[in-house]
Amino acid sequence: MLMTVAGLRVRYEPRSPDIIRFFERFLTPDDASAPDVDVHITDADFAAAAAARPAVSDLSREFGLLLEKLADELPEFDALFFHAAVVELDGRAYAFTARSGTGKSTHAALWREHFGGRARIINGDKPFFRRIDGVWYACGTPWGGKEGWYENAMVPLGAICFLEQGCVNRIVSLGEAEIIDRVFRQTVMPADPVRMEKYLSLLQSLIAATPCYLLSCDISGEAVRVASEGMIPSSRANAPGGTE
Amino acid sequence: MKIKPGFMLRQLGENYVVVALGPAAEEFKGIIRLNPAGAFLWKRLGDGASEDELVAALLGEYDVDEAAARADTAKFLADIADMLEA
Repeated sequence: MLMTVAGLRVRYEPRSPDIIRFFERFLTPDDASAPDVDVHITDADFAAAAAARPAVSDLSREFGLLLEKLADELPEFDALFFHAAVVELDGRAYAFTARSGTGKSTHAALWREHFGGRARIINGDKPFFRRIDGVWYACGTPWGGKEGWYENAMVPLGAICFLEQGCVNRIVSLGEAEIIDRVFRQTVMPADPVRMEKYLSLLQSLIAATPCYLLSCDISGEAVRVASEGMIPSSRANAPGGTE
Repeated sequence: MKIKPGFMLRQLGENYVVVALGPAAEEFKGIIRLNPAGAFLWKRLGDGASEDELVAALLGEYDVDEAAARADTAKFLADIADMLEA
């Protein structure tokens, strides 16, 4: 099968035909031309993954391995895997990132509730970020997390927001050192020296081009207002349906 | 003292980071961020250096007193302890 993810043509021959349904929104007619990335999962890859996590179903294992293999190739195409929930608002993407269980998707869902039709969730868990002609885009992927939020879309990246649970809602802008301390945990670092150089130069470009924030928040409309007004000054005047 | 093989220092904007490559990446997952003084000491360790030599290098490069240089060097070495050859 051939799919297009983050603008990249990816060829993969499924081990299990059932896996194709996960890629439906990303499938591209296969004209047998050369893809950007050709992903292979060997029996040895599969066996190693099965030994490491025996409780996972074969289908989930294949789905996960495909992401791992693809993530490895991304730096070559000015792209990175990033662990985040991405919301699009008025044509800009806002990536909420945190350790699993902190409430990324809960917060993303609140944006959709607060802004209604102006907001849509591009990806719930594992988007790619890709730089094209100097502009960073948040890209939907088939890997949308347990909520199944996975649009096939590429939206210019407006900001990255690191989330923490808190009892007050507060957002602060992060400096380079604070971003560096946090950002690596949300990506996949290559072990190969050449790929590592590429990966580091991409991260530097991403950090330089993208405002980053730290949001302490609870689960409320107030949290969305603090976050959106902090990241998008113009949203204060424009936002309809506010909670005041 | 010397840095274990497989660790790489790179500048990232105004900061420096140390990342692990190859087999070292199996053992050490993540990064360490160093300020310019930390990067300076790291480079000295690349060729092998004793704690006293690091303190002396720091005193030669920065306008600090010996007590501060000694304390900073000890802290730095503790922070990167798992990257030093035994």
